[in-house]
Amino acid sequence: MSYPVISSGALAPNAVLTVRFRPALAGWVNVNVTGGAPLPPLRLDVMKPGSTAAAVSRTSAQMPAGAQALFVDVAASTTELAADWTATVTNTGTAPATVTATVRYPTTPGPLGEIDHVVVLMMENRSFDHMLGFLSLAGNSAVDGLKGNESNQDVAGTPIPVHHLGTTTIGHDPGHGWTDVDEQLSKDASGRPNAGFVKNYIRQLTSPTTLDRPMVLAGGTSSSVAFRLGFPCTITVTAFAANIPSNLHSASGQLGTIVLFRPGQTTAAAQSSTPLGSALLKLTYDATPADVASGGMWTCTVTNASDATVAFDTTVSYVASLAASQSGQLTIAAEDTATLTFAPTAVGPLTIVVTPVHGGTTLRSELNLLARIELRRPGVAKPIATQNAPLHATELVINHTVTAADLAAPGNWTCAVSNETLSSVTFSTRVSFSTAIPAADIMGYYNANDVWQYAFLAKNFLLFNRWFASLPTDTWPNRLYSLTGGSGGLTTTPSGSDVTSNPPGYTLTTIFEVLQAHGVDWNIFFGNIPFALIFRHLAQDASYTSRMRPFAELVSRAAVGALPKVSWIDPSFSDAKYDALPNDDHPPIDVEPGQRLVHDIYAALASGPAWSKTLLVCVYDEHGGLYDHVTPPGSPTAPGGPPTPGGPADDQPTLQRYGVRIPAFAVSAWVPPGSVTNGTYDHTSLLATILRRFCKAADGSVPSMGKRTDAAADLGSLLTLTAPRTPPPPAPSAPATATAAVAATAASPTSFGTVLHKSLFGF
Amino acid sequence: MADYARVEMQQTTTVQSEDSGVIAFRPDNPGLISVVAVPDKTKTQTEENFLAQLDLFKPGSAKAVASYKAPMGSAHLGVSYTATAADMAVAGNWTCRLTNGTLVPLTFSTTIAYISTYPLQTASFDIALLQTLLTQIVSDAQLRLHLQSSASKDDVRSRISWSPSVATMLGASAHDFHLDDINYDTNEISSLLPDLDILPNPLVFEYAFETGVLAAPTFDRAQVAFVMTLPFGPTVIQCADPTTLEIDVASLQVTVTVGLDGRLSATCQAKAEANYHGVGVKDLSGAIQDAVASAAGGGIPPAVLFQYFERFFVSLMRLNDTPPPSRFGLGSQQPFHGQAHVASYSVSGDALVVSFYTVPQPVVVVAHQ
Repeated sequence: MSYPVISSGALAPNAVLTVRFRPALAGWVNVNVTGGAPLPPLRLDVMKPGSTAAAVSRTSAQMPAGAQALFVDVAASTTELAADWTATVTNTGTAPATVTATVRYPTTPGPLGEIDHVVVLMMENRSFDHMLGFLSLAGNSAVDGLKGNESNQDVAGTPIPVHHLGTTTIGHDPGHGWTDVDEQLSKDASGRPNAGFVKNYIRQLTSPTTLDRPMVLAGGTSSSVAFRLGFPCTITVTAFAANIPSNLHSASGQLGTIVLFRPGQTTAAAQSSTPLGSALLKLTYDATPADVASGGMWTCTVTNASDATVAFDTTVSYVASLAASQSGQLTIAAEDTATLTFAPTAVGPLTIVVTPVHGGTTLRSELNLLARIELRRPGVAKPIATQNAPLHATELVINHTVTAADLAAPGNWTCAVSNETLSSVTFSTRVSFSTAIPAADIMGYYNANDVWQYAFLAKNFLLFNRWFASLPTDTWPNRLYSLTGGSGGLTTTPSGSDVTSNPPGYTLTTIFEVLQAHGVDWNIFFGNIPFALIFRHLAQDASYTSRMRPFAELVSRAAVGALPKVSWIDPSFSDAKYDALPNDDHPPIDVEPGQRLVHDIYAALASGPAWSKTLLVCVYDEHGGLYDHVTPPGSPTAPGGPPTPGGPADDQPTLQRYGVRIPAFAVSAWVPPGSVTNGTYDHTSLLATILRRFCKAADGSVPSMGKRTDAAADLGSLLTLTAPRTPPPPAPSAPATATAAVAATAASPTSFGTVLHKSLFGF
Repeated sequence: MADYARVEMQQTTTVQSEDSGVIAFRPDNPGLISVVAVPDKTKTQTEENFLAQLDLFKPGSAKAVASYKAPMGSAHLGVSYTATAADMAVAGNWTCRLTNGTLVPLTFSTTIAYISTYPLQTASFDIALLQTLLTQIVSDAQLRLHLQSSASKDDVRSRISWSPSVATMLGASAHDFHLDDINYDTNEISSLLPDLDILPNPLVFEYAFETGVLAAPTFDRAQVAFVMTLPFGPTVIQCADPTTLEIDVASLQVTVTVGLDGRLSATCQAKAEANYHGVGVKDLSGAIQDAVASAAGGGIPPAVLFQYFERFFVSLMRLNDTPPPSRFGLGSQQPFHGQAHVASYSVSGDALVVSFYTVPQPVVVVAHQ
């Protein structure tokens, strides 16, 4: 008898469809009935061996097309396996119907045997404490979340404590490559681990500004360079003497000096002298937060102490502010106006460039103008700058310097772009400005209002206290581990230029190939791009690509209990272009769409007839550079060091360590509500669960997908209930979360989504 | 050492009445190239007094190196040509053109045999997934079409453009091409134009149409082609000459079929009328349809389109023989093992089948210091 047992038939009024089956093992039997047309009222009876009386019965009212009709779960004991069971479907209505009855029961022993559908949702780039740390603060002591006293020091030694983020967005995409993670997990001076998140974030955001000032100084004269410091950092000044005469003399014996002055002060903050015989003057100074708070212009003075004229190539390196830019396209109807909004939060240059993209050859205009742009401060109606462009202009530009006075009024700045032609015109836009450095964001966390769906899952299902990313690095290696059990040695996501010029063709064996070889049904349900297309064997064989289906299909199939054994969900990836709303949670996007995605998946599974046979695992691929307080097993004692004992088994010894902890839930009728596990898991636990449930041979052997997977814990031991429980109703719609509009920033050229798009489509 | 292989490539092609179809292939080495095409009908109606014609072209050449014109009743058509080393020095696809001389569609089963260094491989891709991804890709590519006519072929005013990122990939920000003005025989409307004597014949109309961002194409399995419908807004075409005659185009819709082999064709549905002093004088729908369809169908050379598609499918289906990047301890990516080239496309069931071959990259020997 093939499994599951499926029987279909056309039922006249009062006719009966009979299905006979014999459960292979003790456990729970799930019988569900669906129909493809509007269904009349039906009755479902399940009779155990030797009985003509129904052990359970269900009836349904008339239901619309495609709707779930009926399902029951009934226990089968070891004494009830020797003879056939019977399920009957009776048409109790007055219209004919075509119905399909599907019977599922345990086919392998143990808790995993109760599961017929494993559904995996892998989100992007959030850490455990960032998303779930609030649970312990809210009183759930079983959760290894935040205590509220965690902090990291910034570059000046100021503690940045964990804190609730004010919005459901985060300003930037923190670093999360291998060296970033090593720095994030490093210890501070007092030996506290995981102390480098803030410093790493600041270092990533604060690439220094460099001022080059050539000076030709007569003997004994000086020249100065002024600059504005935006952030505590190391100021470096160098002056290289390029043309030192061979007979250079100096009464002091010095070539020259560099003196650094704080704003408005005549007492030197630092100074440095260089003797004759050297060509390089150099000064460094570590500016403190108090130094920066004073504002104003800093000055460094270079003095030629010799008696001859010397040319100095002078360079000042410091952190001015954080440069931000927004790029996009606007299609504006004839003689209409669209508005750009942006929010500079630091003094510095503001540049707006608007360029017509299409339509220039045939445009007409009553005023012979192409467009007009007007820049306005927050809350001020009068523009502070305008520009008109003649009909065939190629671009419009406004340059403005944002001053401290400009920043006195908080809020968004605007730039109105008016199309002055008689046709619709598309413009590309770019706004560049300076922002304050949001160092504290990296220590931020969300709460139950922000991640309302996770609050629901934590209350009703099982939360993993110790699910780690497979490697302490970024997306591609971790997703490779989740699908293949290894990364083939890959330790970082390839760059966009690399994958465009040389598209990688991964040949690692994926779980999908193993499933297909074992005759196990599977599908990938994707939001915008199926990640698995990076695997050559899959991309070149339609028997695999035909199983990659749009996400909407998961919802419709779950509603009628028609999901495959294994469903892998790729959310809509950020930066992967397209106009689909990204919902993968990859910073800096809003987490609200991700909460909605998880909600929709849960609602579809919980309302489907196969709920009692389904296990949903919701997990993140890696931590995305966001703070977590747990040091992953196997982490080296110092950045760049070898793995320490306690890490996972792995085919590659240098990879025997985990990445940072990430949020993970097991959602099933078989896990106790509000439960927490302290077992150690990583992405290969997904493979272990799938292989041991669906690919176990008669002799008990399971295909190997590498040492890491072979040794990984599966999720079977977490399914501890003895009977399936009814799913709680899905969480209600999002409460009034403080959602902030995400600025329309340009896609990062190095982000996962950008690289995936380039890799698959070439642009 | 590479294996030299005699490659046989087979393709079934349906050619409409008095139309032509093209099959592209790419031999890698000098040697005999032979093409045999078997039509599904040998006797049928014709006005041209022949069944079909087979022509073989070298890359980039409009002059056939071998031709055969089959009389009615022929069971097959065949040509052969021995490619020289000089022929091989010109990169690109060879093509054989099948011309149907009858008044009914003919389906040809064609076998092309040639010397290739490397054996053909095949890869398949689910058409439903391809269709889903196309929606995204076309949206991301921001394709736009601007059609504008001119009198001189040197005056190029029409353009298909795409996003900056696609431009980076293709090395070009747009493809520009020429469209002829519409020339209209004055005699056809002579009775309606009192000042006919002072007008030139023909009247010349310059036209311009512009699309928004193009919608997603659909994949046509029978034609192995993408089909895209382009709606244009109403417009008025002014006569270039000093007259009050104008063409009022109430609606215009162009359907462009782009074969994966690079062939481009277009049909047009238009509602257009000539107006004189604001009064409709003649239905010009047919004239507009013919002009726009002809223009849109000739915009981009097949070889250019073929290369675009080849680049896309090589990337999407990972056809290059490329090692996994960033092996631990080796740092950055390794060079190609081989560059894939597409030989042909076909449809099998629900799958697009791509025949391709891979040319290994030369081994670079680094001299140690």
